[in-house]
Amino acid sequence: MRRERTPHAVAWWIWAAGLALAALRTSNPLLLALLAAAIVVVCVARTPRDLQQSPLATFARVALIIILVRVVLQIVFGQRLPGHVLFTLPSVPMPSWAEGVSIGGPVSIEGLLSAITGGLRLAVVLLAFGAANALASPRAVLRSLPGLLHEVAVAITVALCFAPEVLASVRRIQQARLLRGRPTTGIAGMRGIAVPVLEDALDRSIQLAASMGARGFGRRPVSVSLARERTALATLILGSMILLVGGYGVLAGSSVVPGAAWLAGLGLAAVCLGVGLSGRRAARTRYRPAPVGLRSVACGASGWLSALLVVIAGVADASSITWSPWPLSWPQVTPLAFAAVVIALVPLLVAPGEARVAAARGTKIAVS
Amino acid sequence: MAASLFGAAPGAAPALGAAERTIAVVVEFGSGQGLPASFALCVKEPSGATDAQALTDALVSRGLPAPTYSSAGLLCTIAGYPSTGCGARAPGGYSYWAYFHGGSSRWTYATDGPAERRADPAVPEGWRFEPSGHGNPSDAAPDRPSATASICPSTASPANQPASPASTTIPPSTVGVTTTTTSASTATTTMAPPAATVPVTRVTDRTAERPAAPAAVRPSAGSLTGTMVAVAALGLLITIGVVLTRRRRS
Repeated sequence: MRRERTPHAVAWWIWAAGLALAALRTSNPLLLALLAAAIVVVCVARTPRDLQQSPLATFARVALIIILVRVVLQIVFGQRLPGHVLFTLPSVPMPSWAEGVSIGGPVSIEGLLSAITGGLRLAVVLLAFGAANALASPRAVLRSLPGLLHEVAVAITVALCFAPEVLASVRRIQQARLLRGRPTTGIAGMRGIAVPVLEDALDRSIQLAASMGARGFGRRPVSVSLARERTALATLILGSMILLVGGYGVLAGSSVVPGAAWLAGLGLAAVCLGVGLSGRRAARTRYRPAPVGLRSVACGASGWLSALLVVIAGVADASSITWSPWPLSWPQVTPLAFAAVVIALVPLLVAPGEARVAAARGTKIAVS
Repeated sequence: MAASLFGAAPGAAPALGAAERTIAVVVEFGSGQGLPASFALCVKEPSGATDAQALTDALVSRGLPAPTYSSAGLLCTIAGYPSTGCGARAPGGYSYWAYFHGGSSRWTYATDGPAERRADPAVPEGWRFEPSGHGNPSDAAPDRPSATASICPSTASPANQPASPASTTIPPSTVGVTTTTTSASTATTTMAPPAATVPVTRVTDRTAERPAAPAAVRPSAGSLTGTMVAVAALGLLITIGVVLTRRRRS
């Protein structure tokens, strides 16, 4: 077993999922901003340097657009609760049956703050997944999925590769048509490009199927009984359904689904059971499996501990994680919620910095 | 017209004085021991105002805290009640403020929100606290009669009403308070409609005491430390992020 140098790819995704959960549980803009800052700092400090462009920048851009869209929607169609009116847009009178829809009208500070906070919450979730993408490639995560999900993982990997390949294919054919002086825009251009692209895709998928078949994809080992495999699959599906309902209840607050936390726990246990039942199924080897050690555990646990602290802070004092602009007041961050942000920064200590990773790899890089 | 003269008064609501109407607001704290008294208020609103605006104005005009809403826009408290929770789960359902539209015969459970509903003089707005409601039309409606004429008798014929200042925040001292000791089902006023010169905003109280209104939810100077520390930490994190990004680029 190789020694663990950096946290496992899955650990980074677990850390990010925990922080996304923490963000979904709170409506306190100051706590959300702190979580966003923590995510960005960890991501900037620990992203591998060889990455051309960090996916975090793309996700951050989308997050900004989301906040802007929320604000514009609030101004134009928003909820018009009484508040400090900034300006009044000309409003369109709606018939009585459509009174629920407001177009234009008074725009209040409270409404804008509410829209920004709502957008910020979604933005933090996006930042968390952007950070996970930058810190560990999704393909590395798919590689480490349990045997039962091997086929699914392969299908997702193929799908993930599909979009960039189609884009490359379109660009290639466009260039070829430009060189030949054929149209590349309009209906004629589209027809001229679409047919070769489709042909290209068909050729490549036949090639991919052939190579996958040659590597034994989809072959069931004789040693595994069909009944056991089916039980495992049924447990997994049932478990993920229970987990879905329970997870929804946990995210939406326990008042929606009674006993949501228990349901989520039960679902998680069923999923683990299903994976365990089928554990030895896939007769395949992994090329250089990434080791899992204390660094990975600490990294993954810190995200979920952070979420747990936010939940506990909410149970102890609901007003510490919920904030509403009606009435206007300064958002407060209690020590417990603050601890959640500090815990989210633990990967900075656990994962080695760029310099140390390079030093550890130094000899290998020199040889190659 | 008098309304247009007063309409431009400083601090007044948008100068729509000519189109002002009287909106009836009924607030009931449900049944049970130790609850604040329920009350009905009549407030002047410009046309185009929402029920939410009418509720706020009605409460503020009586010196009560304005209603608070959750970040999702759900009404949490009226006159500071309840002091904790917002649509919280209670044994048998949820404890929340149910919203009703009045009418000539009965209350109907609203299918819209107060901020979406344009205040209508013919449709009083009713609020009833449901300690263990179901969040559907099976929840109990307010006990008071649902017609504007019985809540605000003086406004039965709006055409005869004199125009009043456009300001909707009438100080409590000018609000006529009538006290009735009638049963819950018949909230008849014991007083004749006030003279034409008295502001039309009238309050009929079931009991003389005002609802227990806790202090407005506003952080004191001491509790701002939580905000200050968090802002400082945010600034520190942003600085670290900027420095790290610069170093990577160089």
